[in-house]
Amino acid sequence: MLEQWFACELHCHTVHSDGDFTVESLLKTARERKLDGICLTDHNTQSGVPEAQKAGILPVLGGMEWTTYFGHMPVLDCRHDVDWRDALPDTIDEKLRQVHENGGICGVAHPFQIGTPICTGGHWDYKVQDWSLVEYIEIWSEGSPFLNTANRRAIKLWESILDKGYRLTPTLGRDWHRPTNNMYPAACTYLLCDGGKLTPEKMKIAIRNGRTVVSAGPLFYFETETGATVGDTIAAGDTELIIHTNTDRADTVPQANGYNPQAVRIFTNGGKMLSEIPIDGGDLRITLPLEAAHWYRAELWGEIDGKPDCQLAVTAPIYTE
Amino acid sequence: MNTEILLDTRVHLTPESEKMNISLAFCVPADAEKLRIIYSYAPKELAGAVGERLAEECLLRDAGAFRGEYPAAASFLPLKNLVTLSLDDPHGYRGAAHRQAPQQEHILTASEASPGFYAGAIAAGEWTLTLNVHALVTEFCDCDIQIECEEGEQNA
Ligand SMILES: [Zn+2]
Ligand SMILES: [Zn+2]
Repeated sequence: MLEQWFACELHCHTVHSDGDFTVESLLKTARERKLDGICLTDHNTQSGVPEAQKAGILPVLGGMEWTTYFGHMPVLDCRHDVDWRDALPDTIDEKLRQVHENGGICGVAHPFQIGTPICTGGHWDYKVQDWSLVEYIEIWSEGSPFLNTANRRAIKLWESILDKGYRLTPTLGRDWHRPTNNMYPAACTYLLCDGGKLTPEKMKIAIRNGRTVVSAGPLFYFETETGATVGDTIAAGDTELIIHTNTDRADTVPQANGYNPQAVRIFTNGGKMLSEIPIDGGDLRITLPLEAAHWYRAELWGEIDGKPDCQLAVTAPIYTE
Repeated sequence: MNTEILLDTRVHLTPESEKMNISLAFCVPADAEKLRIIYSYAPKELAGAVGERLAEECLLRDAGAFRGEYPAAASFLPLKNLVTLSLDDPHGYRGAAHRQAPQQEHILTASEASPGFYAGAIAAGEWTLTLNVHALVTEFCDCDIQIECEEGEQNA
C-alpha cells in the first residue's frame, strides 16, 4: 500500500484533566479542523482514552502527559501506567526504559515553557543521558517559532541532540485544552503512514520512525528519486531531492490562514543552512552533496496572511549512512 | 446504604513541600461499592510584591538570556498553589485529577468514576491518596481531605 500523509494533533486535553473540551467536543472539533487523527494526552491520566477510542469519530492514539515537577513528558500507547510521581532529573532514563518495556513511546513537551510556579513543571529539567530512549520532541508549541522564543530554543535543542547522532522526531503540540487558542487553525503534525484507513498503531509507527512534518498548514516534504524520505537513512553523495508543497488540506480548514510559500531552506549538522531556494508553486528539484553520518532537514518559509518571513513548515530529517 | 468515613484529615503544607508527594493511606472495607473523596485547600493565590519576586525568579531561571523577550513579572500574577490528587488501589494506579480548582469532589464505583479517575472494582485493602504538590507559593497551605465509602445493601 502506498504511503500517505495524515494531518494529526498529538497533544490534547479534556475535562479528564484541566481542559475545557469534553472527549466528544474535542473529537468533533478535531474533525472540523480536517484532522485525520489525534493523541489524547491528558495530564497524569488515561481515563478519557476508552471513550475517545470507542466514539469512532477519529483514530485516537491513547496517552498521558506525564505532568511532573521537572518536565512534561507525553507517553503514548503504554500498556501499564508507569509511575510519574517519583521521576527525578538524574534518573529519568530508568523511567524511559520502563515506558518502553510496556510498549510505550516518549516525547518532550514544550521544553522551554516557563516552569514552576508560572506553569508548573512546564520547563524540561530532566537530564536525559541516552536520547535514543526518547522518540519525539515538540519543536512547536502554542504558536510558531518566528513568533515564539520558546520554540526557537526548542529547535536549537533538537538540533543539538541530532548533532550527537541521535534520531529524534519533531512534532507540533497544540497543547489543545479548548476550542480557541493561539495557533493557526490548520497547523498540525503530518504523519507519513501506510495508506488506507489511519489507525492509532500507524500513528505510533510514524512517530517512532521519524516520518513527520510540523506545519502551520501546508503539506511540505521531500523525497529522493528512489522514494526515500524523512526518517529514512540513505547513502552519502550527490543526491537529488524532490521537494513537494501543497496547501490542499490546509485551505479547507475553517478560518484557515492564507499561505504564500516563497522559499525552501535546507539545514544540516550544527544548524547550518546549506541552501536557500526560492519557490513559485509546484515541485522543486535540487541536487545536494550529502556528507556521511549527517542529518538534513527542510523548512518552508513565506507569508501567512500577507505577513512576511514566516516559518510555514519544518520537516523531520533524512539521515546519511 | 451504609456510609463510613475512611479518612478525615488536614495536611499543613509549606513552601518546603513543593515538588513532594504526600501519601495518605486508608483502608477500604470488604463490600465497599462507592468511594467519595471531598478535597479542598487554601489559600490558592499569591499576588503582591512577594508573588512578583517569585515570578521574576522563575522567569530569570527558565528564560535566562531571553528574559527580555517575556512580559513583566506582574503580568503572571496571581501565582497559584497547585496541589493535585492521585489515587492508587491495592493493585495499582487509579488516575489523577490534574486541575486548578481548590475545591473538588470525586466518586469512584465499579462502573463509573469522576473525570481523571479509573472506574473499577472498589477492592478491599489499603488504598493511597497522594497529594502532588506541583506549586506551593504561599507561606502555608492547608489541605482538607475526607474519604467516605458506601457499603453494599447487604450490609445496610
Ligand atoms: Zn504540558
Ligand atoms: Zn499539555
